Parts: sequence; structure tokens; C-alpha cells
Amino acid sequence: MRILLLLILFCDLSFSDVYYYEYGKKVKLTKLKDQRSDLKDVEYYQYESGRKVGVKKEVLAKCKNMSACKDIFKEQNLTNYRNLTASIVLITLKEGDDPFEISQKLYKEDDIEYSHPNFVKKRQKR
Amino acid sequence: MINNFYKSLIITFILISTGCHLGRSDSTPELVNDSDDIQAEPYYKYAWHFAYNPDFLQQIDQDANIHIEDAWEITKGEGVTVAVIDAGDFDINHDDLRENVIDVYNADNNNSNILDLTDEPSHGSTVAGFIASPINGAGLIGAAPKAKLILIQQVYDTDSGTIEAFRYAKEHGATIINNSWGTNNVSQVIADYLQELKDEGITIIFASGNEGADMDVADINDESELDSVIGVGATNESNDVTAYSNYGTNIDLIAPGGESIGLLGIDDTGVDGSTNQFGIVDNNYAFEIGTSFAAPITTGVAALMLSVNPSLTPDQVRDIMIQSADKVGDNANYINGFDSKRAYGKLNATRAVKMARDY
Repeated sequence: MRILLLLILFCDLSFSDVYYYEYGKKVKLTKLKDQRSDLKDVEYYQYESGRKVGVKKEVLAKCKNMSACKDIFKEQNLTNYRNLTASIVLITLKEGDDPFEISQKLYKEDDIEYSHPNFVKKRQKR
Repeated sequence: MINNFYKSLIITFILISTGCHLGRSDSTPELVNDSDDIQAEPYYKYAWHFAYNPDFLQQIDQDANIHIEDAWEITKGEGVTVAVIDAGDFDINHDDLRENVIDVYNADNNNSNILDLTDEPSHGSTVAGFIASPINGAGLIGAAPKAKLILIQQVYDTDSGTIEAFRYAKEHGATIINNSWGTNNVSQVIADYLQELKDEGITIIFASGNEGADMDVADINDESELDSVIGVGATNESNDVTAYSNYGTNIDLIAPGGESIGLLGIDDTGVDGSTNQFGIVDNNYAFEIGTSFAAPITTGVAALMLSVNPSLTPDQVRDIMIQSADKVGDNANYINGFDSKRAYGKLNATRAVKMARDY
């Protein structure tokens, strides 16, 4: 019985939900096992709708004020980042950093308009 | 793209029964130097999406085309640069593409080493060809045969790579960006950046997709539905919307994408050639079906419009296309100009270009 409970707990931790904010809404995802990508450092998740998405160990943030943003990154010990546009920043995370946790923290900052992981989304030719 | 073997057989039979010229040629036609003679393009006669040809497949509705020939009397897209973002496969050495390509970019690696996959599917070449295949006697022409092309490859589907691709297009002078792809799940950062590009005057066009889905009720949040984008569905040889064309309240227009025979374009299957040639064109060309090809035809017409009036904003390009569109479909129900499956109607190139000129 104890082993069964431990197994259930393990499975629960392995497939636990994560979340981020997008378009002002909280979005839940469940981590998937055994999903592979040609890209390095990509893990796969599933939306509640069943749609799958890859997540890199990177975060995207839109800054309202770039100078204030840099201070926030420094506070969060996020040192490896570059501007993709004048206001959109790509942050590469360190080993052990969680893109969802970092996105949530940045999302709460007043000087950051929004932040979410750098997703890998299947583009279909049409 | 949609392939249908059985329809191919039927079309082949129709071609034979209507007396259309048969006889496959595997040799590249002799090129014509810098001529405006569209009729000298050996395969132009099969371009039912551009103009009606009573000698080719009488089953094709005479109004199924976008009525572009009078627009070409005004402009052929001179002075306009169009970017094509695609999943990486461009045959940049194709005779009906090469001379209008002014730049290439690999958004994954931030360099100019785009794959020239001559033996791999080359969807991007086909798309680019519908926009700006030049007038050179090689085979056929695009909607804006004198526009110039930036071909942008993005194989890996990261949000950051998509931004790099669009940014490159903007920084290198593209005023129109064609996208014959979609995710059905657009990230906020992409939606936001596309809005920024539109605000900076760049017209962005997306294909709506080929699932026949109602994008309002399905679990779809697609790039083609964004306010910053012109979303394009597909019409068929009978001059109505195709069954496969995705639709919804945020799709703007429909344009030829084909449903039975398809649109003749640059072959998308590499050196081995497509099976969709019906024995009437060589291996470098094929009949293609999909909203992927309706979008670049619309993009080509946008290039014609900006050629005659470079000051048009993306909203004005969209509004003119909508105002000048043909209300097609026997069973259509246009309310305030909009039909749920046919959007604001089918692209009419000559009317759009004249309205753009006089705007």
C-alpha cells in the first residue's frame, strides 16, 4: 500500500501542472514524458485542450521600460539576455531555472507588460 | 497542401476529353529576355487563377480568376519588396524564381545559409512563385512579376525565431510579408510584434488553413485571425469557397487556392517532380491546392497596390481589398458584406489596384 502511494505521488510530481500568464489569463499545462525535439533543451507540455507545445529553457518578456527591466533582470539574477526588438527580450536561463517560475515572477513586475516561455509551436504549411 | 489521386485521374480524363494540349516536356523552355510578353510564358495558359482561358478546361468558371490582366496594364509590382517566411524549403535556383530573389535569410542560424533543398519538398518556392515568378519565358508568372523577394527560412518553430524572421524582413525593406503557415496557437509575443509591424506600415498576410474548420468555435487562436493581419481562405475552380478552407469572423478574404485541378505553380517536391502535372507541364511545375497558395496570390495583389500607391497603410490595403472584392457563392449569405465562410468575398485584382491608384 505504501509503495502504491509513493508511486502515485511520484507520478503526480512527474506529470504535475505548471502555469504561466498569456493574454492576461492563467494558462495551465501538464508536462509530457518521452517527447523529443531536434532542438536542445526543449521539454514538451500539453494544454488542457490536449494541444501539445514545446518549451525552451528561455523566457520572453516585453518591457515597458528597458532600463527598469534591466534592473529587474539583475534582481532576479538573469544575466544572459538580449533584445529581439526594442522592447522584447529573450532571456536564456541558467541550469536549474524553471521557465514557468521565471515567467510568473516577471509577469508580476509593473515594468514588464507580459512574460511567457519561449515556446516551440508546430507550424503547419498550408 | 491537399493531394487527391482520384481527382487527378478525373482531371486527366477531362483534359483529354476537352482536347487540351497534352504531351509532357521534360526540357526547360527557352527563356525570353526581359520581356513583358505574358503570353510567351509557356504555361500561362493554365493559370486559371489569373485569367479565363476558354481553351483550358471549360469546366472552370470563367469568373474563377482574380481578373488581374488589366491590373498588369497599370503595374507589375515594380519597386515593391515582399518577404516570404516559410519552413525552410526554397529552391532558389528555380528558373522561375531566381531573378527576383534579392535576399535570403536563415532565421534559425542568423545567417544567409538557407537550405537549397533541390531534392526535398520546397513549399516556400511554390509560395514565392505565386507572388513574383518573373516574366522570362521559363514557365509562368506570379501576381506581381516585377516585385522583388526576400526568402526567409525558419525550420525550428520557436517564438524567438519567428520574431527574428519578421524583424529581418522589416529591417531589409519588405513592405509586405507572406506567411503560408500557421500554428492555430499564436503566442502573445508574436501577436504583439505583428501589431507593431502593422503600426510601422508593413502589410502581413496569412493563409487561414486547410481543415475546413470554423475558427470561431474550434480551439483555434491562429495568426490568420489577428487584427494586424490579412487572413486569406481559398476559392475553387467553380468560383466559390473550397470545402477545406478554414473560416471565421476574423478572416478577411478568399482567393484562388484550387480544389479539383489546383493552381499551376512552381513544383514543391524537388527534382523528382510532383505527380500533379497531368502530363501537361514539366517536372519543375505542378498543380497545387491549399490556402498556402491563396495567400501569396493576395500578397502579389497587395504588391501591385503598393506599387501604384506606396503610401497605403496596411489597414488601407485591407479595406481596399475588401471593398473591391467579388461577392461569390450561390448559397452565400452576405450580411453587411460578410459571409461566414466566404469572408468579405473573393479578391478582384484589377478593381483593387485601380482603387489603390485613385485612393
